Amino acid sequence: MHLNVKKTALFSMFVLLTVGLYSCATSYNGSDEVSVARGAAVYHEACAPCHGDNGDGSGPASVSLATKPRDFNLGVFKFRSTASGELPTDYDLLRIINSGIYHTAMPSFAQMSIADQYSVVQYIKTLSPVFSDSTQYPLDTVKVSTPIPYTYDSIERGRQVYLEMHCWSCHGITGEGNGPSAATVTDDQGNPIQPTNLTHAWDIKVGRTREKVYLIFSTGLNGTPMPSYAQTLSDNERWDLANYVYSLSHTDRYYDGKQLSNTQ
Amino acid sequence: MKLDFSRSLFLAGLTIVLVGLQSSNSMAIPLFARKYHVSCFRCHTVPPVLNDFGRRFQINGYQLPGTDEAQPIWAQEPLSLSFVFYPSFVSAHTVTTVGNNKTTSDQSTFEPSGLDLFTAGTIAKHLSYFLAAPIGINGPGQYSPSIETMSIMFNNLAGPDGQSNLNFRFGRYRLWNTFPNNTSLVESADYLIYDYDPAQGSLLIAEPQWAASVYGFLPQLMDGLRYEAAISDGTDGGDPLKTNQATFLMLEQTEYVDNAPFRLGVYYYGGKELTSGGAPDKLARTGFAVEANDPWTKRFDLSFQYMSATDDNIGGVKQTMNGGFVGLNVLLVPEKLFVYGRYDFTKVKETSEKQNQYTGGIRYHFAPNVGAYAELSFLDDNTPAALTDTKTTLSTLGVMVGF
Repeated sequence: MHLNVKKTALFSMFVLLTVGLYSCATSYNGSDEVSVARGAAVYHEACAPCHGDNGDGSGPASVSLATKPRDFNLGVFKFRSTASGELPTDYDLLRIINSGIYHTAMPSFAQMSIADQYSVVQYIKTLSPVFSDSTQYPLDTVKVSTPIPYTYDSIERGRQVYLEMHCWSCHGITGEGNGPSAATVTDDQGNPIQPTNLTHAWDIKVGRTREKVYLIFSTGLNGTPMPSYAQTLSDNERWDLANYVYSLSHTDRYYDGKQLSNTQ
Repeated sequence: MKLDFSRSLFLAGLTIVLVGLQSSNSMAIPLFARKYHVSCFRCHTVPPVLNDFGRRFQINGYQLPGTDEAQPIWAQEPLSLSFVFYPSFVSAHTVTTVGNNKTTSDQSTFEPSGLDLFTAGTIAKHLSYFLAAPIGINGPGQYSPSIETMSIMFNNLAGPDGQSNLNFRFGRYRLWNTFPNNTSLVESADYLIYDYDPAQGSLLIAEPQWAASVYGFLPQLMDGLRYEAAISDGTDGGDPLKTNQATFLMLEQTEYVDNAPFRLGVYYYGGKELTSGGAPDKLARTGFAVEANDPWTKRFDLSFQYMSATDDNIGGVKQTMNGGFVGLNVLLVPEKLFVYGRYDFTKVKETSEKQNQYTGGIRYHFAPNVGAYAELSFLDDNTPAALTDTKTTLSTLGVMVGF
């Protein structure tokens, strides 16, 4: 019987190894080529638990998340470098996969091979018909202009823009995400959204540099009430606003448009 | 005779209370949340219950699915280290009946948890590790550090990086059988079938044990087949394999019904060990497990497991136990509020001992890494042949903090 136990164990390991190796051999293309098929395989392994097999954002792990994963079927993406209402570029999608979205359920997949990351981008684009709609192209990529220097004057001007454009109605007078409309903000699908607390550096998802904050004001966040100000604010005003918002979560923090040291 | 009765009563009560107080040591491990800048709920429906992403993270050597990290641990920031503690207040009410004598005891206590230290991560490409080292509190100023699990994993030995098709693991760790002991939401009461150990040996299916495993995940087969084959030397290690060894085999198939996972697992754990009296015991544990999430709201998670256990030499005779559990976890508010319940049952054929355990609880998370819970557990241990019956009710209030 002693022999049988050993035999059983060894035989089982051998069978599992063989099955495993065979399965791998039949599924692995063994190359670094970027392909939709490869992207599908990686997507179903790494992305489907949250975004769902068909990309509708309702994967098995999505129900336990307070913020719902993106529904790729809609072809609507918040974080882009393109004009309001437009599709993202491949690089925009790649950047999210590579960097993740800070302090959300979307981790950084920087350790995934770059070929696999590109393959997932190509596969995601097959999940919505809008990516194959020729009328969506060419994409209007927003160019980041020369930044206005990060000075107290610029920050104070940005504070005035913040008040005049009613940013406070969602993000609050102090930028703490507690404006009068904050409790009722939803995305286009009716899912509740918590406006970002701009004073918490750790809560900021993407706008972690002044350039990225500027980009958000220029592109808007598609599918949310956060609009693009590309048509309503001048380039300088968007930079001033970016400097002010950036200052809220950094050591140059302002309250009510004044330097903190001057208010004490 | 009276002394014996009092002593046996005291021991029975103490044993039940200690078993009841034994924490399942189950908690999310915040080092991964810190490393990947994500919330604990990235991998847990409610800590420590793993969601589908967490299950793939775990089997991929504690790396994101789809990846096989190459960055060595010494080049990683922040340091892969975390601490967890989970003190509780426990009130135990025990009624013991021996023949016609019935006695009652009550005991309330603050149960210190000690501090659990975790470190885990990637050492190099295809190579990762996991170490859990609890520091227990034995008394005023007395601490007992120990190593609970310590293993090295060789990941993605075949197939694409990050798909976990084929892995190898060695060290002291828990074998996987659909509902591992450390992923139970119930804190104050262990799974009865996992505690069954008539030989008092070191072959315990659900405890960390010295073993070597070939294991993996094959998403190519339907929605994913998980497998593991292991040879174990038991919980202590160092015992000659000639007299102390077990073979473990497990298969677990997942299917998704409208994105709601349905899992079916089967396992076998069998071998031989020396009993506390020095005689050899040949044992076998076979079981199957089912997990089903409701496909409509996806907020109800139903679990079921049935196990049959045989030992051929317990005091010179064969002993058979059949038992299992049925559990339900309900997600009321994502990342915040959960309720849960479980019914455990065991029956030993030869001694006619029956155990029935009912547990219910509610958990609230103030933050992903800070939670509080209230639990009520009732255990009825009845052996008609010996005219003994012990009923224990545990009320537990606890917090768990990880940082």
